[in-house]
Amino acid sequence: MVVYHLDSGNTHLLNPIAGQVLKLLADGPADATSIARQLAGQIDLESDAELDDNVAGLLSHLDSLGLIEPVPA
Amino acid sequence: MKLSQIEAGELRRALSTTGLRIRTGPFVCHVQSPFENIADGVQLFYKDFTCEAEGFADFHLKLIRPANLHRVWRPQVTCSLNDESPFSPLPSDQAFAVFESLLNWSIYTTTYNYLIIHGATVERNGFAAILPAPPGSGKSTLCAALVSRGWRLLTDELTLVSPASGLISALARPISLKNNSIDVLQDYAPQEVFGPKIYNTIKGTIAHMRPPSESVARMHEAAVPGWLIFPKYQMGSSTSVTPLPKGQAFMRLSSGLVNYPVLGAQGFEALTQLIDRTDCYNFTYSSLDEAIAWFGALQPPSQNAAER
Repeated sequence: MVVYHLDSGNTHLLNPIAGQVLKLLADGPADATSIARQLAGQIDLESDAELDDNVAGLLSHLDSLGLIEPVPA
Repeated sequence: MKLSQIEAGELRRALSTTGLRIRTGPFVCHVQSPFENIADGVQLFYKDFTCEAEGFADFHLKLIRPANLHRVWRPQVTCSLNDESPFSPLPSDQAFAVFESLLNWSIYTTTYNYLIIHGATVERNGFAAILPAPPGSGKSTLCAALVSRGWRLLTDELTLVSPASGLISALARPISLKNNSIDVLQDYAPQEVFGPKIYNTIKGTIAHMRPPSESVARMHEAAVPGWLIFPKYQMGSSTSVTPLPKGQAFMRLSSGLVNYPVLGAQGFEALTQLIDRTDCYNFTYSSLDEAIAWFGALQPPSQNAAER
């Protein structure tokens, strides 16, 4: 998936998982654990602590690119 | 009127005084120069183009002799766009190549109503094959070879994509061949018209190939993007083709676009549309015959808006 960031003018090529996470977040805010759970259901991944960590890392990376931002829980 | 209707002496006089306005695709280029090699080049390569003595022009190009001593012992050409000259003088025997580069630069730096891809584009049966590539990849060689075998020339250097329609506009200007590819093309397509070799330019030796009259006559026909093919000339290699995932094709194309950052979201949309409707390939070749055969067998694009 290719996305364009309006504010920075940057274009990003995302791998399928990152693309899927961005699509999930487009539906509304969610935390790493719930995203991991949804991902595990959609793409045949084991839902465990390692997946939660990877998703948290991915969210942090997407945040640093300005593609998502944290909201109050 | 057509440029070929102007007699040689008159053409030279016009260029050295009020200048000529030459239409190339969507642009009108007003050029003034006293150099005979520019007049000769314009007469040879732009004979089928229309020109006007007066009227609006998008670019005002001047290529003149600088006011210095070089004038006497090593003649130079200095050039300007719209009376601004950020360029260093160059030897005057390169004047026609300087004119071609200056016109490229003018289009590159002042055009924002098209997405500009650095690459050649040719068309057949209504679909355009875009050959984006850095210098040295053999895109001009391939472009010239395809044009000599019946493909319509849209452009050798600057591919103009309309963000509104997604179609590609033609410029139909001369093809600039460099170094070894000059002799290769002169052997491969002896029926085409080539200009004199211009030595010691910043890109080595350059010679131009005249655009076919039919391509020039059809320069106002935009073409539908069909294939996006990244060529790479590799000496001695066999022809090798690999489909390119659309996401990768997008990134590869966008990284080399001069005005993509300026166009912003509009550029992104235009590029998305372009990638969606084209089949994308990496194409390595060394044999022109094999390359032409492969292009000739291209099927119409599948136009699947696949997941990017």
